[in-house]
Amino acid sequence: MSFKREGDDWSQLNVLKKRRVGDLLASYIPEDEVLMLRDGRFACAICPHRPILDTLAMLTAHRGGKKHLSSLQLFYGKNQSGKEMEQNPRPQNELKKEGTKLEAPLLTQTRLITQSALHRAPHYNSCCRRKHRPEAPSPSISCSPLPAQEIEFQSEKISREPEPRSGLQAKESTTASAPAPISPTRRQALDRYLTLRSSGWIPDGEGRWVKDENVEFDSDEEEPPDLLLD
Amino acid sequence: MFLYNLTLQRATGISFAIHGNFSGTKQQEIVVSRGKILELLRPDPNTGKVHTLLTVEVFGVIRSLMAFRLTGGTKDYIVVGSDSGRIVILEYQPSKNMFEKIHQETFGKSGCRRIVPGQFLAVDPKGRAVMISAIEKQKLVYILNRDAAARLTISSPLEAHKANTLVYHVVGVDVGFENPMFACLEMDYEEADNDPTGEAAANTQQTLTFYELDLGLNHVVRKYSEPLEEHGNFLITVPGGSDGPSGVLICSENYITYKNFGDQPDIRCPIPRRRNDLDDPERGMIFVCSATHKTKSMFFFLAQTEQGDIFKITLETDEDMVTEIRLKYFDTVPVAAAMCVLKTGFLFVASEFGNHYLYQIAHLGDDDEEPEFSSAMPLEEGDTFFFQPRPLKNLVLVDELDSLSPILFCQIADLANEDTPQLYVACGRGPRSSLRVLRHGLEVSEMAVSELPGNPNAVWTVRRHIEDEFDAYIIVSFVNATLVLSIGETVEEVTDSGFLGTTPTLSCSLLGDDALVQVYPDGIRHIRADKRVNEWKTPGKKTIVKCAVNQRQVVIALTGGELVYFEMDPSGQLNEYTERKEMSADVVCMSLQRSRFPGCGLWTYCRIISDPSDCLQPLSMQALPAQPESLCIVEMGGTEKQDELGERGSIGFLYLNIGLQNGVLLRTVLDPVTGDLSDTRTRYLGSRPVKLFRVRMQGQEAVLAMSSRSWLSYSYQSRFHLTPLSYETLEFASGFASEQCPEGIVAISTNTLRILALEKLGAVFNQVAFPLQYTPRKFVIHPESNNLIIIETDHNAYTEATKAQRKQQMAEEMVEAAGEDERELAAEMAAAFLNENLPESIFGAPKAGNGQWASVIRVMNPIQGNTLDLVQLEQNEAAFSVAVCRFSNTGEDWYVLVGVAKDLILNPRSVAGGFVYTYKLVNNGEKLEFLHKTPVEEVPAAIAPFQGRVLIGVGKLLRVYDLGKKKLLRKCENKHIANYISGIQTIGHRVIVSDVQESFIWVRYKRNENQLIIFADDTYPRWVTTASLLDYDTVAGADKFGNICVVRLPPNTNDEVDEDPTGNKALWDRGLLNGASQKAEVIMNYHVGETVLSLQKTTLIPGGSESLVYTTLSGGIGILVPFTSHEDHDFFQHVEMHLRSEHPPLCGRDHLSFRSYYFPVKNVIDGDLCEQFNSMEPNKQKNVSEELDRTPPEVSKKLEDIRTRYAF
Repeated sequence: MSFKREGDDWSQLNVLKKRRVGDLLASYIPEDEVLMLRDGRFACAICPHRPILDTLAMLTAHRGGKKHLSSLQLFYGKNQSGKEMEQNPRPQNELKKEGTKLEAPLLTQTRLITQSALHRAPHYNSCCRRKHRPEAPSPSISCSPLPAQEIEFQSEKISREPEPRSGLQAKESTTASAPAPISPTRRQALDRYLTLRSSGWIPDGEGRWVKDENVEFDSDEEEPPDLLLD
Repeated sequence: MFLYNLTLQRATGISFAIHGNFSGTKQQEIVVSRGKILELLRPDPNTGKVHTLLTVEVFGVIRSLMAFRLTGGTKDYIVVGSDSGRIVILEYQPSKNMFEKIHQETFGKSGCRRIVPGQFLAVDPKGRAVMISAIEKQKLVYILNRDAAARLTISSPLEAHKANTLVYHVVGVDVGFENPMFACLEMDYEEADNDPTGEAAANTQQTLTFYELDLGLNHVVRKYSEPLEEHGNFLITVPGGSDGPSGVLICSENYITYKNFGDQPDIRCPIPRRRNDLDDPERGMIFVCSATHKTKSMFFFLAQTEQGDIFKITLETDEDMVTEIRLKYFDTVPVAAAMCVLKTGFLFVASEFGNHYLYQIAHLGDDDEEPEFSSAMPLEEGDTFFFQPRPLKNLVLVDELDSLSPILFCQIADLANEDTPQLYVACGRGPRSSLRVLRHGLEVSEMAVSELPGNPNAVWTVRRHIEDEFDAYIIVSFVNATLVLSIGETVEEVTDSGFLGTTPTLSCSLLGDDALVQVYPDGIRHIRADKRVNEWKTPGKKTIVKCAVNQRQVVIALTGGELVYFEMDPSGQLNEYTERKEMSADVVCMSLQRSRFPGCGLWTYCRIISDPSDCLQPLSMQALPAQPESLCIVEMGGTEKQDELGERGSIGFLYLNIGLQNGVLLRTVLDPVTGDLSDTRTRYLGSRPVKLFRVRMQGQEAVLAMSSRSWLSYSYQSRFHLTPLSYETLEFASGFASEQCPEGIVAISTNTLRILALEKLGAVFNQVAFPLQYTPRKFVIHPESNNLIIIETDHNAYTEATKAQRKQQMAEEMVEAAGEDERELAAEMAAAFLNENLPESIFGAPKAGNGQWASVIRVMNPIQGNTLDLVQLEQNEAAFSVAVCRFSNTGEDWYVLVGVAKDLILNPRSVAGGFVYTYKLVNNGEKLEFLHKTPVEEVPAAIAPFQGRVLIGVGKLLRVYDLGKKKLLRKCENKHIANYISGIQTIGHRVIVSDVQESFIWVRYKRNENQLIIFADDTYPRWVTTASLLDYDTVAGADKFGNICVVRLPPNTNDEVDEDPTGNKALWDRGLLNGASQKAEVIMNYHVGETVLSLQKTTLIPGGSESLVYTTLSGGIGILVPFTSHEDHDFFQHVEMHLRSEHPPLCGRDHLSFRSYYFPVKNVIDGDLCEQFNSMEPNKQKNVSEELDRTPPEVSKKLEDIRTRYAF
């Protein structure tokens, strides 16, 4: 069997080419705009109805759609009003590039080119990294009732290597003020939320906690322990 | 990442053992196979110690091993059946100390295949032919002969194939000088295969088939075949020709049967059983191994049952017709994989599990009260004889060879606070299992310790005559006196030796044939054999500061740096050489080589000074980094020893060892002609100045170096070893030889004189063993108290409670079965039976039957080895996993969780469920307090602490449990693991699950959703046994086929994956073939060749770099170390490449294909192959090193360097 393409049907070739380009371009989809599922499919995180798309091509097509674009506006509008500092990643990227250009543009460029020529694969670093590109806004998890910032706080705890993080902050300071430190009470509240959630309590949306039916509890456990403490 | 594989300790389990005169002398040797290693052992008939002469790794699986001797020859050859698809005949060359491949004939594909021969070997007892057989169908016969130059020749193969036939065992029948004959246990399954009703399968019988090699026709015929009543498991050849009746003994379940051609009727005798055995009485009994002893006048067999009882089997004959088989209980030893009876009266027992033993056969058991069972005794069918097992009577244990096999689990940690970490190894099986603590160092056996009146400075031993084998005096020097002790039956002080006792001694030695010399600060005292004394006094105010003495020469250094040289003339007079030599500085230390060089060390310089014919001319000089403390010139390496045939092997190099004051030892090669110094190797030994002493070890010179720790530098099997002694600090030492201890050391330590022996040369680790009750499966270390919590589980075993209950029941039955008048006697017998307690470590534990499990949980102090707490589980509860952890909702308390399977039947697999026992560790980690027991559906085979809770693998379910009041509470679950979770590793929010069959699965725990989500997995099926995390993305794992791999998540892996939020997950919605969408990459693959059961990333030496340490089921310990530079990697890659072609493996398996047995080898260089460079012939070494643009010493230095950088 050969993986070489046989035949000379140009239309098919063009389709493949287009798909390949689409695949390559797809990597420019910001990570918070799409969710990768366990089975390798994608869910659009922008649209409120969370459509599931089987392939990258379908996702790209979806992202070009009218519905998505209107949701996008809504989404970023909300995000910006919510956090102020967040902006579209592209201009940020430009900004960063400009910042570096100031020193020695030609040198930087050459260095980049040689780097990309020498290291075809990214250099392996055994330290744990954040999986987000610095220009991407902080990840948000769609179905979570928590605002994105809380999740960020959580993932910050996991993160072992502060460099990318500090880079992000440094860059952010050029565009907006650094996020305000979380107050101890807020931290406590977040902690309690996560503790309860991980021990099987589910918020019912009305400020009360109910038991997850798939989770076991002690027989005398009727209410979440924290509430009892309060 | 490129790794280099090094074996620290070779496998210790033995799979085959054969004996013969392999070196061609009268002495018998043993050749053992340890899976992929061939080893030649020689039991010393005088001391009873077993010495290893040669160890060779063959990079192939040795499947069968046989010794044969050509008719009329005196030397035995070794024929090896391996997975190489080749038959290999080896000869041991004592002069070079190596196995030489004489013949290598290819007959089939490589690998352990069903129809490619190699599994069974049989030789004609007269050495005329060898049969090599596969498990099925194929058998080949090779004719062995001599050519005109008396060299062994081998014919082309003769086929004796029969399709659809399974083979169980093959032996050569002793038919004297008639046509060679082979007997074969076979089963023809053709009919059974073609009969769909299954009736034929039920009726298929095993057959005993004889194959005859017709030497006239050059052809093999299937001569005769006979169905057997019982299913046989192996055959024993009965001596024939002029030595016996010929024929074979068939060992089968419960019976042993004699068969032969012609009119000979079958003689059958049941295998006797233990009286009042707790085993299931319905269970059959088989012989598992045998050894034959044959002299000119008689022969007998020793056969061992699966319980370890050895029977002596003799045959009664009447005119070449066997009339009777007689069995007599001989003794009980651990169950063996192979036994050898040597002509010198030793029995070598290669144990199936655990240590191997050498016994002296003290009695043949001919005239004792032990009952003899005979086939002539009338017995009903199904009935058998009974005997009473007892402690050893006919055998005397003379030596024990340590064996770690099987290693079930290992953890490396410095629990004893010794700077260097110790290896805690759970090994053994059943009642012979143990926890062993391994430390790097040579085991020292203390022969004697005696206190002295003061603190001595130095000690020497001298012989009285040059031809004496043993030393006569021990001379101990104090600050102002010298004590002389004579060595005899006891060690006593003497005053008539001629030594001056009122002064300290600087050195003493035997001079000439029978004179002695004592050097003391004010002069030299020459004591002649007739006790005449000549003295030489130092001139004026000068004193002797240093001296060097040998059997002909004395060199002294006076204060001020003056050297005076004395030499003995033919009349035995010690003459001063006329010219004295002024050195430019004070002499710090001196050493004298036997004939030529006195070396002498000065402040920061080391000079080699030539002999007096050149008037003490400086030959060479070496600058040293610090002031030297002592010097020692020795001849090491090569096989200096003269072998029994009088051939002299290659001479080793001269080495100048320099001990420095800063604790560093330098070893430099000294050119024997020019005195040039080259190839210096450095090693830090300890914090104190290094003192050096020349001693003899296994007939070769070695150097004892003393710093804050004592080290022995010696050459062993063409490799240099510098090993610390596992002993307290010593101050001064000297070689020591006496009748009781031919190669010992006499040493001083504070105010004691010690006589020590170093017996286990070549061993890297010394071990301390603490016995356990059942097979240890796993253990964990309690981080606060450093105590170990061990789970021990045995299948086919009774718990103590059940055992006691069964014993009671049997005693009651005994009494009930007795008649009225015998009641009293029966009661007495029952009481005796209840009181009798045979140690299970020797006699084995009773076998309870399939599906019967026994387990204990033990808390043990790893330093003292005492059991602090022991929890016995109920019958049929099998502990499989253990973890020690804290729960976030209970604060500082430590808990021990034990996963237990209930009523597990292995085949066909069924399980009634499982439990997780929760214990609280109380009393400072010394006691287990039972908390609760959580029932689960399947076997909880893996437990790991995770974010203040625990992850438990219950069968194929991965769950998070939290501590509850009445049980553990299930908080979260993932059901998508493929088969069975065999291990769990965690890092951050990631969980790496090893599946028993499907390699690794990466799971992410999402706390805010309380979900476990699979986000990546591996692309290869791996039957993972153990795993170890290397970093956040990388995991190393081993599988049950003996491979080690490292897999890593690619850098763009996203672990923020989500479950499908719509929730409408359908059957087709699960990714490709149920796999995860992201895949790990393979970084490295390597076939070790032995099942690896533990992996740990750790540093083995203080200040060393990290390496991946693995232990194997066969008792081997190895490491994989990363290369730090591309140059190194490149160099070793080339070494490996050249060795593959220049020094191919001994048994014909291709090295590259062996290391790629299951997965193509990737990014690993085999250090074991590279280190074989040292055992290659010098001209080949030269060729290879020339290709590498280096010299042979440079190559071996690099090999040594990489080893010492990471380990020992």
